[in-house]
Amino acid sequence: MNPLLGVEETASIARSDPSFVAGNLKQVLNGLETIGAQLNCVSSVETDHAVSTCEQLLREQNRALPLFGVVLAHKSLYQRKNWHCDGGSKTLQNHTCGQTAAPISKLDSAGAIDCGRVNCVEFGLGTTGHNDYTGTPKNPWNPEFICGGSSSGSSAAVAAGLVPASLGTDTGGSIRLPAAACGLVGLKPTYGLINCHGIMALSPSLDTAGPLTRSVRDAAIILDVITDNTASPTTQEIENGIEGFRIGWPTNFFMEGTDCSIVAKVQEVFKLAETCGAHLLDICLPNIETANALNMIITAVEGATIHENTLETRHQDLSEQSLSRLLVGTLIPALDYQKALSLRGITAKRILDETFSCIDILITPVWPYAIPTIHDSNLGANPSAAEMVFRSGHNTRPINYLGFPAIALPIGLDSNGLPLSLQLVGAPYSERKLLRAARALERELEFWAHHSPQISVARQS
Amino acid sequence: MESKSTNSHQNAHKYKKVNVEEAVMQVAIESANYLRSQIPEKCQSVSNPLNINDYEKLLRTLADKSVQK
Repeated sequence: MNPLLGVEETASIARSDPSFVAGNLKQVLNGLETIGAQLNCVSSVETDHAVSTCEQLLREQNRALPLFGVVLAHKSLYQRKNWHCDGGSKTLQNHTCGQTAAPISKLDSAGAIDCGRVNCVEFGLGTTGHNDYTGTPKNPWNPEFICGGSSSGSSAAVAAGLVPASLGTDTGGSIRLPAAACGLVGLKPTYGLINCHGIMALSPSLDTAGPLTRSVRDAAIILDVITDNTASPTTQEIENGIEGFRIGWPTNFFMEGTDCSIVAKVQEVFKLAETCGAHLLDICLPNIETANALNMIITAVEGATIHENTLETRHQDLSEQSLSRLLVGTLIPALDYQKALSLRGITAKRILDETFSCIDILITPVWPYAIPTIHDSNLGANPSAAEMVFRSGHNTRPINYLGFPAIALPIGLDSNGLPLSLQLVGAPYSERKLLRAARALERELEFWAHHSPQISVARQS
Repeated sequence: MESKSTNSHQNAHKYKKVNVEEAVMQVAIESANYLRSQIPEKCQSVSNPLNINDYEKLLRTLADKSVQK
């Protein structure tokens, strides 16, 4: 089996042998056209742009760039000027981007080669990954199962080794849920840390941008690039272990809404953290019980506002689930929306004062139930869908509501052979600490050394 | 004062006029009513803890305060 090259390895090889860059690009483009099509994860392949970027990189030979020659593809909410990015929606079928998203410009400046866009749930509004318009991306670990959403194409492409990293967006779990379903590291930074200008918005009060990668180090490298960190590299700091870290096990809310088998696996890793030198504590989070619903109120209202014209004139081109969720936003009075927004600060302050004064990191599951098949979770807009959508974000939406950073980390496989993951949550702007904890656990578990997906470029001869 | 469900039905009227299917609209109404029912009762006392309206700025201030502790 071929080894899968990550961001760090690809840039390192490219620096020592620039002739590798063009050959690697050709392989990536081929993978997107073949395996990408098989997984239904590719929205567009921009060969001309990628080849000309590659030629320019090789002419300029600026090998010190952190992403020199690394080929990437991103969620189709990320605009690039003059590209056609559809945001997963038929209503944007003919949309030509008028600007380039801020994080994409930063990746460009760091020497990355942007080769296209990957599919996602319509407007980023959905947790399962279903998309009737683009087709639903298939999970590389087992194509009968969902990739999770909304950054579904990103998770499929990275897990299958088509690209080493992909930027997603996260309003209620849309980086962490697909990362978890596909065995990836998914980083949702603190609200506001990443400039989201030029990314198609869903809910500006909650939207965040971040990477899906196969390793914690790669997530740290991408984070440094998109936050303009030129001081000490995060990759150095995160190797320092978690000796003395205080890790909290939530005694309310999170575990209560999660299947016992998932809780048991997360608890095993929680105990493993103690053997790495961490102090373990049971901890309660005040006011967290309603945060999932309050997040959904804000998302629905802001999403309906952004897509108001589409709702009125092209609702027949929206998927049933998008339509029903956006309509929710038209049915919520301004008074309730304002209450949901106002309660954020109070809740965040209480949790910082009462919870994060005692711990550095909170540990929770990501998915509250086993990853479902594409068939079983294709519920359109019926009442079961509303319940499933609500429950799927049980562990992730409250974190967007607070605006705190979080990371999904794979910890093993479930009884269906699909990845199982945990979530680490930190106080605002504690990304380095989060990545450090994730890296320490990753070193112990070595998920990608022990497991590989059914469908992957690594399985090609 | 109007009940929450009456309010939602009235707001739904606009979208019925543009022919959104009744079943889809019904799911949306039920979801909206459920989400609204989850808003804590004691919202009257809601006030911004630091008198900052920009949530990003509020998070930065809270983070700074918690580091100082």
